[in-house]
Amino acid sequence: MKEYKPDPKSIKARYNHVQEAHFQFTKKRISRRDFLRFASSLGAGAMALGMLSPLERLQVAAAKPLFAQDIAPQRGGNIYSALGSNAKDRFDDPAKLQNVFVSNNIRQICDYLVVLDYTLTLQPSLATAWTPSADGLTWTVTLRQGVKFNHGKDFNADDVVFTFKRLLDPATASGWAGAANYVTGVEKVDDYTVNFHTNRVAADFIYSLFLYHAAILPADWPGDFIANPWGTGPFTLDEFTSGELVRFKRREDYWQMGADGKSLPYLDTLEFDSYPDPNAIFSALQEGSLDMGPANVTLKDQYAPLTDYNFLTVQTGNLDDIVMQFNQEPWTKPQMREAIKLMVDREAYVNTRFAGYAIPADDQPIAPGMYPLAPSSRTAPKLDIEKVKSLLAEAGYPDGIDLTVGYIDKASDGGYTDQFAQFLVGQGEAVGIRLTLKPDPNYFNTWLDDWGPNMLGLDNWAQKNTASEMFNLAYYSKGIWNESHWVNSDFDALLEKFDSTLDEASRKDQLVQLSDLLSTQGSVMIPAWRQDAAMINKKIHYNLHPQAFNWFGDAWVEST
Amino acid sequence: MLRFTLRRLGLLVVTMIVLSMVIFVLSEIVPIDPALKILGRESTPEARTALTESMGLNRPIPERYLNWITHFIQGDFGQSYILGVPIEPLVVRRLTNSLVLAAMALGFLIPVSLILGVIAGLYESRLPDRVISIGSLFTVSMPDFVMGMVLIVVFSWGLKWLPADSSLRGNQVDLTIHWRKLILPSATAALVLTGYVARVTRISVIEVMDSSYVRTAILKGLPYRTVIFRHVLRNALIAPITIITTQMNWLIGGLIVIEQLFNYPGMGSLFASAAHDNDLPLIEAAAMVAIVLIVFSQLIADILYAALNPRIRLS
Repeated sequence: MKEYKPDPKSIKARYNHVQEAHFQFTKKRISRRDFLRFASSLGAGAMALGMLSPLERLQVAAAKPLFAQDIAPQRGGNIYSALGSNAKDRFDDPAKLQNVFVSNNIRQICDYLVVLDYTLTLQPSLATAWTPSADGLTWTVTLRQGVKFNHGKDFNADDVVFTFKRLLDPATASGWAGAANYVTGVEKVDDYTVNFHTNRVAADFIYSLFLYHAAILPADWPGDFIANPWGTGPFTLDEFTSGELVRFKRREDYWQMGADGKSLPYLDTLEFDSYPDPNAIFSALQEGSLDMGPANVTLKDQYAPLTDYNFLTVQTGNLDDIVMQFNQEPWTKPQMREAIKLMVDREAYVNTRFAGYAIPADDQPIAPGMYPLAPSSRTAPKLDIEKVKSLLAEAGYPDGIDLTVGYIDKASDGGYTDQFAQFLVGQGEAVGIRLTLKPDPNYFNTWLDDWGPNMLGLDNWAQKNTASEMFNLAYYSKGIWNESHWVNSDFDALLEKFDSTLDEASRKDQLVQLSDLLSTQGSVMIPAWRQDAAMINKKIHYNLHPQAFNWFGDAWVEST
Repeated sequence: MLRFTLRRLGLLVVTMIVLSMVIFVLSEIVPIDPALKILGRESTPEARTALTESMGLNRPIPERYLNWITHFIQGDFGQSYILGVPIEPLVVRRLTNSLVLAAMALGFLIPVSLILGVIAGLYESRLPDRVISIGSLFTVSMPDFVMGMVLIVVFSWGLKWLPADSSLRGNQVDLTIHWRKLILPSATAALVLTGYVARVTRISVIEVMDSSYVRTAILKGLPYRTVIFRHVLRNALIAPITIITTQMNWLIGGLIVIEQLFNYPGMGSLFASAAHDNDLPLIEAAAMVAIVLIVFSQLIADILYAALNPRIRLS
């Protein structure tokens, strides 16, 4: 086997970057979390930990677990979950997954090269190290040795090349190719080293390896994941009953070790059920038949009698937005975009819609503390009725304006977006913005088309792995999901600079500028970043992930 | 009787063919892009076009209809866009679950509603009739989800006698294992119909009791019990039995709300899920299965009615 030695220049460059980031951290310009995230994104997590003081290292270790770790994890048992799971949508090809919930089926069976853990810190997984080349256009990724797929094959570079070539192949039609559109190819260097090539410098490249499509499949995978559920993950697929249940069984030779020095997972079995009705979930919790399920924050009091469960919440970067198409009237007028942003009482929105379990937002998607480099706070605009009226008059609508609001209908999303729409109708009336609601089961067939004049759209977005991913998808003028059709050359140029800069402090400043540009000039209104909630049996030790990347490899159940 | 049955069968086959065309055309004119459903909104237009072509969705509607119906008759219902699995085993599995639930509901519905209806009819305008009439009015006017919630709150959340979570955890229903899980959903479905059937039975009994042949039987000195069992019930039960038979399709394929409320995996929840996700092949298959059920339950009702009332056959 050819021995791979990383480019010494790159090591030195990495050290310089990490040292600079540490300097910024000691000057309190960036947080400890950002410092560690940055270092781990360069494959220099251990180097960064070494730069911290012993006390700081203890704080890092102590900050990680949500549950007290004074009880040693116990082995055995089953978790029956309806939380963030999906036994309904197809998962016959990981490359074509369409939502995070169904990706959680794959996540138990396959590993990724890297993972973002529940603290949103980048961790090595099947990749143990990653290094950018001096020009930043090639990333060399070192792979873990001694890992086996559940069908017996040894994991090596061929599997990584196979997986990413499939993802990049237009015939596969994977969403990964669009989200990581700067990746041009992948090649094997030796059995445990691969090179990824990009057509531009992408500082956040490493995070794209954790997009949910990028589960590592073996090079001999013949297709159809249901028939051939081959992966290196902690569980195997035991049973899949379409639309009802996915059952997983522990594998004995998983490469990750538990706290007791034996292979994870701790659980014997794991079951994901699809409960279509919140009342059915409540009944199952009441009877104790369900171990964990999603909770509605507005109904928190109703969960109080369920004393065997914890009501847990986690802050997310998930958001709802009002879309104003930048190339359509009246949204070509900046006054109209500002009027929409100022017409909403965001505190009221947070309190009525989410019972306070959300943070008022400032019309840009980067939630404080929820993304690498994100600032710890942002200031949300306040409701200003007089200003809205004067902006309307200035834009040529002194008597107010009639607008139509398109969005996905109640039957399609359980009424989630309709609640948002109904709230906005009341807010608009107070300022002379008269909204006619137009729910549409096929909203997402036309969400990127031109809607014509006097139209608004309502959408919601899940948090992405990085700010760059979010901006490139939805706000870059050439973004494939630029639903507001927003074009801003300053933003585009700054985003390109942000993507190609490796210096941590500079990127942090650039991120603030990008957020400010979007907040003040963008063509979306984002009222809040919400929290997710769950009811979890008190016997279960499991940490909620802000992005709902539910992985049960290290979950365990207390036996009584 | 054989001629009558054959004639009805012929009519039903024609009905099914026409309805299958209607279902297919309606499904096809819905502005839904199947390739977008399968590949997701992240896919490129080129990939969607290629998939549309490979699935034959760009061919003329008559050609696609013939292809679909030929496969359907052979038991090949196609593949679900959303679930990504063959539809036929899925439908068979859910249909079996629904048949078991319907059988349990009928086991409650038939004796209870008929006995209550007969008592109310025989005691017309007296206390038993008033109590039964008010009770049946109550169940008739209550929507199925309210009825289900009432039963859940009382028997599951309150008294903790019965489970309200009827999930089968991926298993096929087995009465010896799951009978407790089926009590509340089947009782909900049965109660929704009990009042209706009892009221029809009551009216039917009152009408028969007023008929000249019953008066003659009583006047000629037949024992009351013989009059009731030999003359009244035989004639009075024609209408309620017909109604029960025609409700079979609802019990098997229409318990959408009840199945969702109890998380029971039957045909109703499959139908709801397919409609929710615009899963056209599954909608088409489930609709065709529902039509076959409706048509055959109608045929059974007709045959039963004709067997009980020879005038129907002769006409």
